[in-house]
Formats: sequence, structure tokens, C-alpha cells
Amino acid sequence: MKLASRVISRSAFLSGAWVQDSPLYGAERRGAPVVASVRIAEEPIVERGTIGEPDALLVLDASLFGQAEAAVLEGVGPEAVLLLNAAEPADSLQRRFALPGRVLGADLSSLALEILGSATPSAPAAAFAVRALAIASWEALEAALRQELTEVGIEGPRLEQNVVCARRAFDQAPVVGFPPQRARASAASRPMVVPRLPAREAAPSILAPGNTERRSTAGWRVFRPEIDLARCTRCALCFALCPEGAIRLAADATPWIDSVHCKGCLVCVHECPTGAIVAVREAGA
Amino acid sequence: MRREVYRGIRDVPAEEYLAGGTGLCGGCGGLLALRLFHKALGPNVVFSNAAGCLTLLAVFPFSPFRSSWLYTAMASAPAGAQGLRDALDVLIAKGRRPPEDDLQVVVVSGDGAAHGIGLQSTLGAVHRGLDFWYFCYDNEGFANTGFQTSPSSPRASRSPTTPASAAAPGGNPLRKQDLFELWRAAGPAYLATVSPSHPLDLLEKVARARPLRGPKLFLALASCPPGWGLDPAASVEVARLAVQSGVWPLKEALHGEVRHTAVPHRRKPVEEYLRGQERYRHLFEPERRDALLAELQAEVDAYWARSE
Amino acid sequence: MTRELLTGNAAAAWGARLADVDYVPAYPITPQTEIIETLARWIGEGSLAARLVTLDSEHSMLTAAGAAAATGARVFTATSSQGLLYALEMLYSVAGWRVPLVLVNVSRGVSAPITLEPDHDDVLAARDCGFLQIHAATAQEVLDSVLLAHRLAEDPDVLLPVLVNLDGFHLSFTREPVEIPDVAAARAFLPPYAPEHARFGASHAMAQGVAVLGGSAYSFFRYQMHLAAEAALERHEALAAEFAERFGRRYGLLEAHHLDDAEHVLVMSNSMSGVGLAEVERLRAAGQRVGLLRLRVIRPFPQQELRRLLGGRRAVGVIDQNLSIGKGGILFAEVASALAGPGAPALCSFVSGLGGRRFQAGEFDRMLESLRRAEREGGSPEPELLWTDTEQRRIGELLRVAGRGFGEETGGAA
Repeated sequence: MKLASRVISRSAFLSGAWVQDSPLYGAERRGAPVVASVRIAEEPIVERGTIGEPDALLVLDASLFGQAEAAVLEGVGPEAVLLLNAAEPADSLQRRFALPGRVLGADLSSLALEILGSATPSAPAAAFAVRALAIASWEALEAALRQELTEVGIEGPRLEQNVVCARRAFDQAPVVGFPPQRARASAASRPMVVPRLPAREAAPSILAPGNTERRSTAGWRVFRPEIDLARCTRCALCFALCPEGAIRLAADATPWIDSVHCKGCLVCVHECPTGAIVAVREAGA
Repeated sequence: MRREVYRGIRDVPAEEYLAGGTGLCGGCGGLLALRLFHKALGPNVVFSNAAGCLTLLAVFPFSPFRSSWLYTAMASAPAGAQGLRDALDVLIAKGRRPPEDDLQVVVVSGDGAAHGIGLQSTLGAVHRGLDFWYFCYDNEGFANTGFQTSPSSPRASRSPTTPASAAAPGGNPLRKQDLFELWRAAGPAYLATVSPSHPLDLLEKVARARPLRGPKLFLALASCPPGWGLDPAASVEVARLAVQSGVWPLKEALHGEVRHTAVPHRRKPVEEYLRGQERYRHLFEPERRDALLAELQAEVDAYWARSE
Repeated sequence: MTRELLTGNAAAAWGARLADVDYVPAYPITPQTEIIETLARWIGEGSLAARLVTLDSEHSMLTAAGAAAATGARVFTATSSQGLLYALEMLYSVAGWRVPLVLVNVSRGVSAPITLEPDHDDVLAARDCGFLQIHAATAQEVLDSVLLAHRLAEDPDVLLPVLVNLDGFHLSFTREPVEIPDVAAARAFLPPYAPEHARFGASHAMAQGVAVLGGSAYSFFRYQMHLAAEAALERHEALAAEFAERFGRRYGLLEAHHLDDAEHVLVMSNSMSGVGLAEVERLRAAGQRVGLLRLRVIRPFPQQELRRLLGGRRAVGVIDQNLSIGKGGILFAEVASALAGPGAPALCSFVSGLGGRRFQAGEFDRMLESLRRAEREGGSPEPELLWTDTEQRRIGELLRVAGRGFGEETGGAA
């Protein structure tokens, strides 16, 4: 996500705009949720920090809309342009999640999988956004892509594949541009004096053990493991070796996968001694 | 090693004490090792955590633990364990808590916090004979901050702070600090290395340590897909190769006396283990670094020669 | 109740003993060590049913203290200067865990240069972390404040740890008469600690001290700490009133001397305010309408009470035994901000007492003159660093001995 945002902002920068880009993440490692901000203007930008009311939103994991605490739509108004990485059609997603604004979708993960061999959609996502929002020409985008990829150590054939993948996404993207700049909407919130909680309730303690169960990590998957029970010998290795504990055993030792909490790491596919677990492309990812 | 309690996979306890839905990377070897470790300990546990990847298991308002958890600081999780253990002892002794309310106290720390910054509090707790467990997930780097080189990073691995460059084509020039031996010198009751690729060995060691009072220290190899540059699906296999090539010896020390619990008699070449990981790619491309590869193999050979 | 000759350190230990603490994580440092040695002796004799454990550093010591408090034990510990600073990270953490405990700091100047003698740079470095702070001026007040601090920390409206400060040497090692309350009275004032909110045990899983990501959520919990500290102003007064009823000694947020008719007021803190009081009384005997205000509760900072007592005075001088390098006296800045607005007196800042520097003869007279000048010409935020030609000559000699001769300008003998 950080890479996509940097390619977008550098494309604008190379086209003569003043830009500012910054990531915000819970921890500096893959798997942690990331929000990146890009500001583009004709004059020097003085604001900074997370963007309160985006004109456009690029979402690489559409399942985040289903997680209330992710608050993806906070500050997104009715005029915003939403660019989504999803196989599901845009209008279907808009209905399903009650999305505001203008929604455009593209199956960037599949595109990446096809051309790069892995579902890392940063380059095509950046291209999709740059084209859809009319931020820069292909020439500027390509130059930005090459520079940003080189800076993170992606070179040679891998770099070229990313450029090809970006070109496809760029060519396929509809052009809608940014929504017209309007005065900021009046605040939906009002100031209030912080109430004092009883002290015994005022620490960030958690008294609901195991409540991460309420969070789905299904949206992480590009591939889903499926068990062919005819080939399964009930050796239970998959159960033992799942890092998430997402494979359970029934009373007769038949394994079943908790698809809400499976992250699609595919360790089970790799480890199954009889090849009874196969990786299936996740629909809608 | 002959296992008494966990002889086959059917002996792996079914109960999960870590719920799904956390934000840890898919394929995290450290998470798998902790999950197995917790199964062997049971539910009555309080974790004292030092800063690292696993700190982000519990982010307000969510916790995956069916047990208890206290995040302390990077340097002092063992001191937190001291406070937890002492308080439980005093409260139970004074009759303010029933004995059934007792908990096992477990430090959870990555290698970054276990070496260097955390050694002071660890050695202090071990010296005082604290009755606690220490579970170190060793992904051989400061993974949570982007995988910078830590004292646990192996020689010749590369990272953002020891990149393979013209000035240093071999990457990290320093040897992996031997935490097992540093800990052993402090005199814990029990000490072991484990790997998520060998779940029964891991569980059995917990069972062996359980009846002992005093420090029970576990060093778990934590294969790390983003840090080591692996396909998450290969996470367990790479950990297995570490054991099979002799790079990660599986051993235990009961009151200081070392015994290997798995001896790979026909060790796979170290190269086979290194090959699958991006962090060692510079040893093979753009050209093979034969001299360095030979040194790495020789180091492993020498370890096993000393141990036999 | 018994009357005894006690050092400030022994008085602190008595406070912990009367509080019937459960756990004392310890680490030695001058000038605090007598506290933990006294507690160790009592535990050995069976006079105190607590566990004392020497940790591997003050950072570990505070971690163990907080973890034990988070489990539900009543915890007491002590440190000083370098140790307090080494533990500073954990002071913020323990306060953020919202668990009660009492930390006694025996104030000592901070390195570098390293010294053993007192000032307040150490304790004031911890003023922002969420620990409440009470600064004691006599051994009696030390004992009483430790007992009061446990009660305040455990108060259901507060649940913040409390730091009680006493000056090294002048108080820690100085013996004076102290009334030691009897055990029954202490128990009546401070019942056992039985928390619901923070207690680890097998019967109920809980996670404490977890990460909070997101600015608004993080802000909320930090705001709550501040609101609890503010609530502690009223709680301190209520508990101090109860303390006065039971033990006959009344402590306020501030201690006012001769303020009724004072046009000029000197503000001080800790044990050297006694020297200030003696000087103020000497000046009053010579006809000066001068008063002394001793700051006692530093956190929460009693802004309203300060405004009430100092608003309308002609000039106020704050004597800081600390120095924020590049700004000046720390308590001066806090007092000045509390008094800001219409009716504010002219303000002067004085710095003395660093590393135990004694007040020199005539300095209080000169400070009063500065206040009178400020009244005429307006005050100044620049600190007057108290210094004399005698001291200048002496340092010249010392520099020369150290091979650093600077000649005539240092006043050193040729």
C-alpha cells in the first residue's frame, strides 16, 4: 500500500504538481493494516497528517468494508471516487456495503497473479488510480514506477513485469478524474468536554478473552485451502501445524477449516503428506 | 529423544488458547510455536510481554488470549514476570486469593528483546531462581520494526541495516549470539530449543519442564515469511530444514546438562536451507559466494563435531 | 502512638510498614538505601509481612512494582536521581496501567556532574508521567504522606501511583522527633487493597497494558489519567481531613505561612523551605510584610488554590532548587502559568540549592529586594542564579588545583 501511494504521488510530482505522501501503520511489517495518504496540489501544501475527508479512496482489500473498527469510510462524502481492488463488480460491492460516491472496481490481484505470479497489486493499483483520477500520463507513471520499485530493491525482470502489469491496469481503467473541489462539509461532530469515567474503568484493559474471534481474516486470502476428505488420512498434521489454529478436528479426527479465521498462508497445503489439501483461488479477492 | 507424553500427533491437545483473527502475518512460525506451547501449558497462564511482533496480538479492544496478558516494556518482561509471580505468591500466602487462582507466569519475547536490551532483566530473574517460563520466538531480527539485524541474526544474512553491498557483500558480518549458552551459564532449571516444525518435540519439552520449579527457558525458531523472504506456505518447511541441516539444533539442558533431542545424522547441506530465503540470496546471485558458503557449512559441522 | 527519633528514611519505612504493604521490589542507591535495609530487617523479624526482592536495576524494579500492583498487591518501593531517571520509561507505563503504588524518591542532584547531595531535578523530571507527587518537608510529614499516598493511590476516583519526595541528606539522613501512629489507627485509615479492575487470577482472564492504536482512542485514555489526577485534588483534601481527625495533623495541597498581611511572598518546596521560613520570620521581625508559601502537592498542580492565595499580592518570588537548562526554574514556570491573567503579581525567579548548595548569608534579604524592585518595574522570567563572590573565589581555587588555572578573573589566589 505504501508503494502504491508513493508511485501515485511521484507520478504527480513528475508531472509538476506539489505532493505529499505518508503511510501510517500499526507496525512496520507485512500483515499489519496500512493507510497511506497522498495530497496533490498545484501550490505548496501546508496541511499534513491523515486525511480527514478524502476526494478519492483506493482500497486494496474490499473485505475491510465489513470491519467496523477499520472505519474505512470515515470522512468519505457522497462526491468521492472509490477505487476498489476486487473481482466482484463495482455496483454489487456498492450495494452490498452501502458505499457512497462513485465506485470503480478492477480485479488487480488476479492481474498481478497472472503477470507477476503473486497477488501483490501495488503497481497495477497505482496505475489504476493514476489513470482513473487523471493524475498523470503513462510516461510519468512509468518513470515513477521504475524509480519507486528500484528504491525497494525490485529490479531486472521483476521490475519489467511490474511495468507490464501496470500498463494493463492503466489501459483498462476508465477516466473519471477527481470530483470537483468543494467547501468542506460542515462538521458532523460537535465539541464536548471529555467525561471522566470511573477510574476502575479508565484503563485500556480487555476483559473479553479471545474476542479477536469476532474479526475475520478471510479477506487476507488470495487462495483458500480445501481438503479432499477422500484423500485425507486423518493424520492431523494440518491441525497441528496451522499457525492460526484455524483447522479443527471433529470427533473422528476429520479436519475442517474455519474459513473466517484462515489467512490463506497455505502451510497446510504445503505440509499435507498426501496432497489432500489444495489451494483454490479465492472468489472475490 | 523418547517422548513419554506426546508420542504422536493425536496427542496434541485439541483445545486452542489463542483465538484467530489477530493481525499477525500469515504463516508466522513464532505464532505456531506459541500456539503449541500454550496447548501444553493449559489455560491458567499470564503472559508478561516484551516489545516485538507478538505485542500486536492484543490491540485494544481485542485480545486473542483465553489466558491473561500484560505488556510491560522491551527491556523488562522478566521483571514483570517477577512482579506477577511475587504478587500471586504473597496474595495466596496471605489468604487474599484462593490457591486455585494461581497462574503460570510466562515471558513472551522476540529475539530482539531477549538479547542485549533484555539480558539484564533475564539474567536477574534466572539468578533469583524465579519460578517462571520464558518463551522466546527467534525470527533472527528486529522483525516488528522492519527486520533490522539483531544480535540473533545469523552471519551472512542481510537486512535493511546490514544490506549486502559493495562494501559488505556478505551482509551481516557478526555471528549469531548464542543465547542458549548465555542463558545456560545463568543456571536455569530447564532450557530448550524448539521448532514449530517439530511440534511433538516442543510439547514434550514443556511436559518435561513442567514439574520443575525455577526458570524454564524456551528458545523457539520462528520462521518469518516477510523477514526471511519466504512464501508463507513454506514457513514450516524452512524451519524443518533448519533442524535437518543442523543449523538449528534441537536440544535441552536439565539443570545445565545438555542433551540433543534430535540429531540429524545425515545432515542436509546448509545451502539447501539457505537457498529458499531472500535474506541469503546474495550468497547465490549474481554469483555464488563459495568461500562464505563453505565457512557457514564448516561452522555447522564444527558445532556437531563438538557435540558428539 | 509512640514518639521516636527517626531519620526521613526511617520515617518512610515506617509509612510502608503501617500501610502493611505486600511487596517491596528494591534496588540500592544513595541516599535511599536505608529505607530498604530497614524494611528488610523488619521482614526478617516478622514485623512486616511483605516480600522484598532486589531487582537487577531500577527499570526492572518499577516494572516488577507495576506488575505486582496490576496483579492486586499493595506495593511500595524507593529510589533516587539516577535510579528514578533509569526507571522513567516505566513510570509512564505504570501510571498508564492505572494501578496504585507508592514510590518514595529521595531527591538527589542528577549526573552529570555526578553528586550525592540533594536538589529537585530528579523528582521534577517525573512530573509529567502520571504519578501524583507529594513533596515532604519534615520526617513526620514523610511518614504521614506515605500512609496518605497509599490511600490516595487506591482511591476509586484516582487509581494512579503516587510519588512521595524527601530531600536527600537534609531529610533522609537527619534525625528528628516523629510521632509513629499505632497499627490499629493506621489500619482503620487504610483498609486492605482489594481491586476489581486490575487483578490477575485464573478465575478471570484479562489483558492489561495493551497497545492502543488510533489517535482518538489513545487520547481518550490519556485524558482519563489527567481527569483522575484532577479529581485527586478534591480527594486529597477529603482524605487529609480524615487523616487530621484520626491523627491530629493536617496537610493541605499547599502550606501557607504569614500570608494574611504579606505583600511579598516567597514560594519554596521541600525541606529547605524550613530555612526559608526561619528567614521570613527574621524579616518579619524587622518589619517586612513577607510570607512563605510551601508547595506540597506538585501533581496534581493546585492551580486554583495557588491563585486564591497569591492573586493580588504585590510580588511573588519562586525559589527553585532545580534548573531546567535553557529555561530556568521549573516550579517558577508552573506557578507563573497558574497565576497568569488579570491581578497577577509581579513574578521573580530564583535558583539555588542545586546539589545541596546552602543559602548564603544575606540572600533572603536580597531576594526580598528583588521582589520590591519587581513590584516597581515589573517581574522577569529570567532566573536569578544565586551566587556569591566567596563561592567564585572557591571555585577558582578548585579549578586551579585541577590544573585549570584561569588567573585573576576566577578570583583564585595567584
